[in-house]
Amino acid sequence: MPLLVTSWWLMMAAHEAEPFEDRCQQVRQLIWKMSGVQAVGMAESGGQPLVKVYFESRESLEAANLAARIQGVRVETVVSDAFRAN
Amino acid sequence: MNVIPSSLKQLLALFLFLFAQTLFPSGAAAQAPYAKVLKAKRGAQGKLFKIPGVVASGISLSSTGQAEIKVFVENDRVRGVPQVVDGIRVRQVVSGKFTAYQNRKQAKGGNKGKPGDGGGDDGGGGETVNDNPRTRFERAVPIGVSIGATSPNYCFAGTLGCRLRLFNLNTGTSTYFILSNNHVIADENRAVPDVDLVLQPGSLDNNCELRAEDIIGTLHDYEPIQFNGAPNTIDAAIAITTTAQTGFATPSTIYGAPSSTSQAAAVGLSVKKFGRTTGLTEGVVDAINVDVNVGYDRGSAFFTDQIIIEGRRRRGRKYVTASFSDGGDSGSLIVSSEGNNPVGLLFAGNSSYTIANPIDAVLDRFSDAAAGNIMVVDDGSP
Repeated sequence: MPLLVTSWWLMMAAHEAEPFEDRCQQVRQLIWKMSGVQAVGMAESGGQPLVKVYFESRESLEAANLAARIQGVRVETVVSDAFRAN
Repeated sequence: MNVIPSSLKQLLALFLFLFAQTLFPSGAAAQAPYAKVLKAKRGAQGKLFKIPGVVASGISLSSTGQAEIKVFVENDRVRGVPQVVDGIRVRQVVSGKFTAYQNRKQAKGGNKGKPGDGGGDDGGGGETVNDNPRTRFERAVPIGVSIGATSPNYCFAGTLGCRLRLFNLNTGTSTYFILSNNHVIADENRAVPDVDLVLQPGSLDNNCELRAEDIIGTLHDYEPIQFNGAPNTIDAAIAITTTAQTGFATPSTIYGAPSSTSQAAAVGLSVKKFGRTTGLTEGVVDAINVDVNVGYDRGSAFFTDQIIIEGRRRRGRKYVTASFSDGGDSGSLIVSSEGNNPVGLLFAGNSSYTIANPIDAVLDRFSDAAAGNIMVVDDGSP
């Protein structure tokens, strides 16, 4: 039972009312470590802010959605080549 | 005072746990698996990349919603990728090799413009206006046209972003500068201020020649680009010039003078730019506060707080996606579609998107408020 209580406490702690910006930042940090990520920024859709991820390969898109689900932050993903100085 | 019996507390905790699970079916419950997968992936990273043909690894979701390690391989002949790492399922995906950064400046742009193409300046009364940005312009040259520097040992051209005005609040005097990128007029940190010169047009548009009569400025200052993984915020450099050498507006057929009042980028903001390679293009701000790796000749550089722009053009009543920039457009000033307010300094891109530094970060870098020097985009006002 103590284990159950601890699990519950950890879960609730993770979902405490953390500022949206902080949760976005955590998601961005997680996503930036994933392979194939070219860029991560802030965008919006329908007036709602979201994290936008530019991936090199469509194969990586699911991983970003996973990171977003953890923090309850909306993520939009697009496929993008590597960036180069023009 | 604690009045609730221990058994009741535990029962309450159990109830709350079950209730929370119905509220957050995929929230924190997924956090522990993700951390475990990340740890497993990091632990196996070294071994995975020793397998010939492995090009990348990542974390993904299986079709049943379980976190898993995904390993990208060059082709279906790659062998030796484990099926399980520390109890985490590994999925092998054939992706081919990922595209490398294209860094060779001399390979970009392609068109070697001939000196004097189009002829004439942009202001001649009644004469045909030259608005081909790859050509040589009569002095004072308009903004948005081909420039280069004397420092690179290869043929190169970028774009003259705009004329800046450094106004001293104490004396009321003004000094004028050309704004472009570090990698355009400071050769990725290799050029020397007060020594290296700025030419119009750039050598790529001038049969790879460096000619004294093409000088329009002298490199004055630049923000060094960090290639060691440290964050960069701008890729910018300024060259001292005169109003006789450098004008403040685009050729008159384009959009004219930029405003001296800058505007912060916002998602959805309509913008435009005039540059050496793709000329006048339109776009929309796609994302802000962007972290991004950018490939250069000297290696990869990490930038924070950038702007991403997606190009678009009108087709009938609708907008369709279009190119906003290409190699040689670096250094272009990006302004708002309405009002010509400076928004960003273009410096990088790929086949779909363009990246720009926020213009205020650039202006702040070259201002010196303590000395009463304020740098603004010159709109030509006295």
